[in-house]
Amino acid sequence: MNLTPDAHIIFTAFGIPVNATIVNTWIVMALLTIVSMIVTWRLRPDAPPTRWRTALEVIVQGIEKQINEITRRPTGRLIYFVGTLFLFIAMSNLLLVVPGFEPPTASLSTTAALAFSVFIAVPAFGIARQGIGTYLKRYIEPSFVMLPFNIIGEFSRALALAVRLYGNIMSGAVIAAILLGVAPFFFPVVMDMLALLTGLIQAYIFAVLATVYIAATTEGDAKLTSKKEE
Amino acid sequence: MSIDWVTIAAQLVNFLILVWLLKRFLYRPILDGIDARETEISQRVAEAKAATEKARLEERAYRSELEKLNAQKTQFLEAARTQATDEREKLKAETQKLINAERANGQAEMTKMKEDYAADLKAAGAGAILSLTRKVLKDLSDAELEERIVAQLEGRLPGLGQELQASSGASEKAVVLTSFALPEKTRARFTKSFHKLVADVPLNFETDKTQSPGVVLQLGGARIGWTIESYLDGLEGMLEKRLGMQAPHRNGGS
Repeated sequence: MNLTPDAHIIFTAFGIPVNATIVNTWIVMALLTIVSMIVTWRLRPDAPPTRWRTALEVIVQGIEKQINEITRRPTGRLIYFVGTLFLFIAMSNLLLVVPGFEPPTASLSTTAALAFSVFIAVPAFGIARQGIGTYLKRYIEPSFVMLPFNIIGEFSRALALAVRLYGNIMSGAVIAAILLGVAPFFFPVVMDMLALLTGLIQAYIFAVLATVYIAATTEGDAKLTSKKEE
Repeated sequence: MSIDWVTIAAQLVNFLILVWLLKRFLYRPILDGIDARETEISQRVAEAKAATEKARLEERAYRSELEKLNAQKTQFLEAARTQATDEREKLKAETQKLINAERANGQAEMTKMKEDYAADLKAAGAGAILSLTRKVLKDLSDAELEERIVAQLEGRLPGLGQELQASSGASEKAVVLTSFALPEKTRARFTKSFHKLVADVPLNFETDKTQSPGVVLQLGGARIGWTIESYLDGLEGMLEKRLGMQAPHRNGGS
């Protein structure tokens, strides 16, 4: 039994093995993109909105509202990053119910990549908003002694994000696989239902934490970060 | 649990591509659409407000116009009613005047007819009385009556002296005409009375049965008579004069 889809090689291209994580990620990407393209194709403001468009508007506005509640200011480009994080993780986790589909988020490589993107995005948004000097200055506050701890804190945050998501999704998939062997007719269904709920919650937590980290950096409010993590 | 660095790099790239794709096909169209729709809704709300305000103003103007028209209508109706009342009163007065005039004319006509009828009746009565009188007197007249009449004429002669004398200048004889033959005694007495006034003119007595009872003295151009006919003529003239005087008096009185 494979604990991660990374070990499941689908095909090899140019000598590089393409595993199930990457292929499933493409599937999720294609699904999200195609649905978005179909719904927003020939979108006109004067035409009455369709059900699909309304559903997408509800999702996008919900994400925007959550970001606004955390950052207390207009979302700007943050919605592109945080919204994509949420939609990708949520869609991956929801596809857990499809037989044979291994969620990409069950791979530590995927969660690590997402955590790394957050790790990069935090200083990127902070520098874009405050300038590099002001951003770097916060690493030596309240004193120069705190520099190593602040750097360690940045890394640990990214690591915690990656492991939290990976652990939740992988455990759900593994537990479902184990129960499938023990009691193939009843427990997998219950566990899959629980996994759907857990997957959505994890997507929400991941996106919210990313927003909090970025918002804390751009506002320079360290207390907000610790408060949210609690 | 292992970390595949190739997969991490691939997932990082995949994630960045997904960010771009969703930005291109999801966030931008949806957010732009929402913004455009909000703008359009705001615009429509503003237009609706403007239209509502315009409609309110037009409604106010219309109501004002309506009130003005109602006031004018009331005024016109009042004027028309007053005019109609005046016209009715005027027509009523004219009609009343015409009725009064017609009534007065009718009464005048009736009065005139009554008066004419009364006058005709009087004239007919007078004529009947006259003809009856004439017939009675004619039937009752005789020589004795004529003798009395001659006696009356004889008594009036002195009053006619100057007239007789003036008429006798050119005449050669005088004639006394009666319808019955007078007695000789009467003739002699009358001749004597006559000759006291006109001495030179001989007096003859003649009888004419067609003449009215009475006596007529012809002397030259003068003709003095006292006959029943002349009495009746005088009575007739008096009656005509009397009736003629009464008619204008009554016409003037009506």
